[in-house]
Amino acid sequence: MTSQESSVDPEQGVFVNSVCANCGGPAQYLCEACGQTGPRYCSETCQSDHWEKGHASVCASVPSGTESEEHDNERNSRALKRSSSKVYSRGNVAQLINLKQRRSTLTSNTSTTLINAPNSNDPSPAIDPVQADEFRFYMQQVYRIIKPVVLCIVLSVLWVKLSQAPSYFIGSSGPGTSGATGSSSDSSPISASIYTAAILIGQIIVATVVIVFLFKYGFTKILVGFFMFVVLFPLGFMSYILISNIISSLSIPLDYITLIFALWNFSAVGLVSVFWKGPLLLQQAYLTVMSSLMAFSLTGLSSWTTWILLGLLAIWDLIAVLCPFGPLRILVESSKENQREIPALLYSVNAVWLMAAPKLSNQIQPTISSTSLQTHTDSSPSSFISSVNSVSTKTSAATTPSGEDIPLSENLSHNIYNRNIEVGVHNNTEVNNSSNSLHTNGNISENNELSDDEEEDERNGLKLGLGDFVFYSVLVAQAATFDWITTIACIVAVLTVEYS
Amino acid sequence: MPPSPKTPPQEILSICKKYFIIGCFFLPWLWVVNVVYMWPLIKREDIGTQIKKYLYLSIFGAILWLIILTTWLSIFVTNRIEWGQFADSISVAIPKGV
Repeated sequence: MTSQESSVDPEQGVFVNSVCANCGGPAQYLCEACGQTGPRYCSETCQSDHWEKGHASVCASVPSGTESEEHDNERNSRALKRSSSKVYSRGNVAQLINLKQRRSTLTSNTSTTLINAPNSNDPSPAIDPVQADEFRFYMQQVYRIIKPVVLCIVLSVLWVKLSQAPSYFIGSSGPGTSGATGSSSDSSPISASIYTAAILIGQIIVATVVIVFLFKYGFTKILVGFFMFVVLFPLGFMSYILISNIISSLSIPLDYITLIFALWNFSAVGLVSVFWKGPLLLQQAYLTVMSSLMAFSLTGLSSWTTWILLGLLAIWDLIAVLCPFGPLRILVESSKENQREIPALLYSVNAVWLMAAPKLSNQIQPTISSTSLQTHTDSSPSSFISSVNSVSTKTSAATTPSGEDIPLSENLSHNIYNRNIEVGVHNNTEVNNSSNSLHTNGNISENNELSDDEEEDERNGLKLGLGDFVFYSVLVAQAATFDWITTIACIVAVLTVEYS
Repeated sequence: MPPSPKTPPQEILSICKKYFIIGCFFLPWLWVVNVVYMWPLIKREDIGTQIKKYLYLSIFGAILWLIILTTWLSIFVTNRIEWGQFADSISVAIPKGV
């Protein structure tokens, strides 16, 4: 009997399969892809035979019924090992079966299963399941990283466009004019722009040095306070600027009482969620909004100033990180030798709950903001920082199994690289120091100390520096002050850079 | 998104309590966050019933604040013109053509 003897038992409604589809003897295995409804086999030989005799065209794992290539035993056994420890196929695997499908069929089997062993020649390439899994994983990670950056960019554009709406207001928009009329100072000579940008960079440098100094000599409390101020500033003051802009342009009647109340709420909860424990989603949202606010406020500068500023920042990053006397290098080195972590404002994709690190678990997080690191073209400092990260996260003993479910985020041992950017608006004499944390593109710090079993978990603990957000958002926001075509073109360009 | 299941219940309770106390400083938004964050934990037995108390207080307070705010805002928006001088002084921006 070569045909499959499966019949539906009318009383039970279940397939009654206990004979080998190939030889008719008692069968203990079945075709994994087909699952419970598939043919049974007593041995691999029978499976191979049956495959050739016609199962290849009906098997559930081959959608088009075409034959697939033979693959290594090793690859398949490895792939199988990943999905389930029960099945170890030593035979040749015909098709590449979707890992998920494999998992789901495996769990429902009562008998051990065999993977289809096609001896036939299957020309269709298909992707190795291991590789497919890796692809899927990386796509997921990329998506998780890209999402907040894109969101930040979109938000920045939104703020710019909103504040540029035709304004019918009467007076009272002192700080508001900077955003709305950003393009008015385009005619100023380039030298003035360079001058402004140089001032800004100077302030950033000074702030960086101060921060490194504070960290090196252990004035942690001052640093914490400084950080808090630095976060509170964009959340509070810049939101105020933004909202008053929007109110002016949209003619919304609002009173100061409500506005101050709303701002107070917004900032306080932002502080709590970023610097202390809180829902991860909320923290991510706040960091994103903060970055977009900073980007928006920088549109107050003239265009030339912004471009020059960005260029100078990139150069400064290079200097600060690579040169021996660069403050950031000193920061990293001192953190290594003191075995202290560099606290920072990091956007965590998944929070890592540090359990077995007693000295860390009760600390209040965010601490130092060191200035940002190199540009996105240079990757060596990023590995530098990654290694620092791994040093600082060494003390974390456990990561939760499913990274996504951990909402409590403590900004422990994250490296913050903040910059201080002064919002120097021409009309504004006040100096606002806000820090951006800049990081190189896709600067992912992974915990290299975890074992293979926790590989999944560690991969989930991605942390992004805020610098990426701000850098791109500044670019796009500045472009958004012109018109929509420029905006869209800029967004597309930035995203392409990000994806590549 | 409730806290991690690995967090010790005492810690969760203390966080909830701290959220509530900090929220008393005119921070109803924090109360809302508290409730949304901790609501699924009510069912957990090891935390006890205290968390219920704080969460109920938080949500009650948040609703109270909401009522106060909406009332004030509606009064302000409708009566802004009549109040004249006073309303202008507390407005952020005065719409044209009113």
